[in-house]
Amino acid sequence: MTQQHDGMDVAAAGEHSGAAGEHSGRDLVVRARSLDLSFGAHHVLKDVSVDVRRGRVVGLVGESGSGKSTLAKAIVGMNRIDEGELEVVGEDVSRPSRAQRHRLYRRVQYVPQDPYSSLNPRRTIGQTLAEAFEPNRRTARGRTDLIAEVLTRVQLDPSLASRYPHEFSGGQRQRIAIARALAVGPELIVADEITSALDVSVQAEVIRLLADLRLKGADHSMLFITHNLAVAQVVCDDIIVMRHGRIVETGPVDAVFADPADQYTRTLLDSVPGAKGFSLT
Amino acid sequence: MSARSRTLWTPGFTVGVVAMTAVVLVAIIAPPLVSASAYRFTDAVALPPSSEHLLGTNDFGQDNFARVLVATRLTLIMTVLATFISVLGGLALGVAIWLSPRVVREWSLRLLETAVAFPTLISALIIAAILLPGATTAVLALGIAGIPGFARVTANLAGRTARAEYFLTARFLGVGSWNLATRHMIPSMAEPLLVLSTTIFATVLVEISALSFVGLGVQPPQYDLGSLLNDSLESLYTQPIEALGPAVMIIIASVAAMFIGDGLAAHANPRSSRRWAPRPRIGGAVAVPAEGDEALVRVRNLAVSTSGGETELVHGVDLHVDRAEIVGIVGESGSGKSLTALSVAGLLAEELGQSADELRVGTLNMRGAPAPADLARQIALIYQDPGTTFNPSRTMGPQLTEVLRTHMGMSKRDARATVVDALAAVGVTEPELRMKQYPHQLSGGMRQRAMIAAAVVTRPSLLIADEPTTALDVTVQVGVLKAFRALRDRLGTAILFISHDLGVVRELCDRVVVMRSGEIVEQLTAAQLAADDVSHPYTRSLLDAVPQLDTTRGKRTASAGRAAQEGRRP
Repeated sequence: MTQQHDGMDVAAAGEHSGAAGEHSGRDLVVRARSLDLSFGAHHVLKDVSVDVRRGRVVGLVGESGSGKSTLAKAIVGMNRIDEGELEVVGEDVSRPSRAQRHRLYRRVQYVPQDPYSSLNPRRTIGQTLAEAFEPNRRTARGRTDLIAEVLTRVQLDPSLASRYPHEFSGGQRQRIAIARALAVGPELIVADEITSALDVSVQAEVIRLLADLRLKGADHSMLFITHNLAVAQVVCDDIIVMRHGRIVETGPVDAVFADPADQYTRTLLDSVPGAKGFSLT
Repeated sequence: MSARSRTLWTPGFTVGVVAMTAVVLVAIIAPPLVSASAYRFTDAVALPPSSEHLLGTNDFGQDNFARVLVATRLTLIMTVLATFISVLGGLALGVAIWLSPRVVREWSLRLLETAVAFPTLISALIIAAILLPGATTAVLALGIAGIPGFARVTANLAGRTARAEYFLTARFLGVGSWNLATRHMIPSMAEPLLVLSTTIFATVLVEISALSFVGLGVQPPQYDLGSLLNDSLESLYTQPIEALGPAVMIIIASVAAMFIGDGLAAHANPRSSRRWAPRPRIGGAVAVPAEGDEALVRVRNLAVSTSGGETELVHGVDLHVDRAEIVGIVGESGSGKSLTALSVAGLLAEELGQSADELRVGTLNMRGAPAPADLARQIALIYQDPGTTFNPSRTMGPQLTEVLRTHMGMSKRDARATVVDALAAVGVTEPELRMKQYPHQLSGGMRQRAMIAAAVVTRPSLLIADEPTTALDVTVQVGVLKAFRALRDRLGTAILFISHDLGVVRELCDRVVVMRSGEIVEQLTAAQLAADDVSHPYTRSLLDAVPQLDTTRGKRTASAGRAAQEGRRP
């Protein structure tokens, strides 16, 4: 059952809410209608309808097996949906051809969870970032400037471009991974648990970076997948709560957390150590 | 010499390189020097070995030793070429398979598996039989026959890289197939493929000689080691020495290649350089607590270092745990929290050095050699991942009752009853049923609770839990934390709880020890932590780094209307 907060700016559309009508297609970077996806006998996504509006950071939260990662991967074209309609940055990718997926490549960027495996250990940071600028056919000189610029943007010294990934801390690597995604100027960034594998102080560093990027007026939309509700609240505008492959609840993050319409969301919030409803007795 | 090159130049590898260099030198130098005596027909036919003719002469009066030296060149050239075809063809095929669409890939992999099922020599024989016999045929036949095997391994390795996150992200950047292959795929598998190439070289050398031996390879007047063997066959009983030369040469060259391959493989495997440092046992099995020391666990001045003592990882930690107390150790990666806990459990990895002025649990001297049965009874351990702590091929029952049966000498029936009670105590539903189920049929939270139950059935005085809830969902975590609390309250078990999560530790523990870079920076009571009475800046920064869930903010904005919400957005 999909529930919405009335009168609020919502990120996800209920199946019959007609939310799709409220925003024109150009406003939406993700428009999903009644998605169904199974892995063999395993029904992973059940009737999932989601909208992500341009310029918003939308959190996708849920526990393991909720289908949040599956949904994210379907959006970036790594999973093929069985039923439903899926539009990403204006392309209909319900049944994507190879060419369609190729067209999405630079308009949608995916940042994976583990900063230790998302950078090729045998290539320098500069070489890794250069790949992001490649199709622009810039001269080597211009490319060096671009790499310096994007490193500065994620608060790293441009002189580090000649270093290899193992010379960086986890937080720095995650910033490099974000820099690479930003470098192509994507319309949508899908960040899959990018703070989950990090120590708390490093996690804070990445959260700060995301906040800074927004302050500086970065106008990209982001789908932020996480199981950490507190992180989601800091980073996101809107929230989508998933459970067992279904959307449980959607809405502005503060409103949903203050007054969840669904019992499961309530349970989830009360399970966070330190939360008001948390108790071990 | 660096540590890395030390692992490369093992005796075997050195011998291999020296022998191979000698063979290659022979192949280069010998033909111009000795070709006269190798080719010229003389009257000195079928001579036995002598100082003039080391291996005697053949039926045409040609010097056998010279012929072996000359033949080495052709054999080596053919082997190199055939290996080259196998390696290049296999590499191209293996990589191409992983860069092609899924349907093509699936079919190609199945085809490849079928092709691998044919022995290379049989395939080579068929190819050689179709084409005209000769050196070129032999090279082509063996080269092509070797492709599927090499392609199969390449495809396996390429598949691993293709699933690596850096490869995925490169794809999302729109990097083309050629660049994906040359930048990301091939460099990542260069090392294992190099090792495989040397093995292929050794087998091809033998197989190419075999082809020539059966007459499908090199044709007269050319000759290689294989055809020399063939020539020697006729006079094997009268002149056996003639077969010795080519046989020994084939063995030297292929064994040298094998040694080189082994050396490279060992070098590529970082574990081969791991060193062992037996830790001295200090004192007996029993520790006597100091006068007035009521603590259950007492650690004084514990230091842990790498085997050679080069780097100290834990520096002089003092720690105690009272009976029925829950003590949390928090810290980030590299803080030494797990090393400290493992030292207390006596489970520190063998290659690490450990020293302490005192290290005891109850009356067990953990610096000495406490009896395994006492250890099993007194200390229980719980690890992070509930998925890997149970054997997936056995039902839960025997695994959970194992300690009771082996260390407590309980009967099967009693042990079962005890475990069922323990399972119920930590909140496992339908404990009788769970005992008959396999680990994968239980959820992660259930498995972790079963682990706790199994750990405490011996009524240990101390339970060490290393990040026991980190792999669990929050709603599941609550249940597991409750199980820990219940354990302490009902059985009086002391718990040493290792975690990176201050939020969890704050809720569960009576006392919290904060570690950083192998040192304890602060010790706090739960009350202090709850009241935010924290003095050390590091603890402060840790607390500040954790985002707090705020379930009040939305209400304010809701009543303030939509304007506040909209104001935040562009």
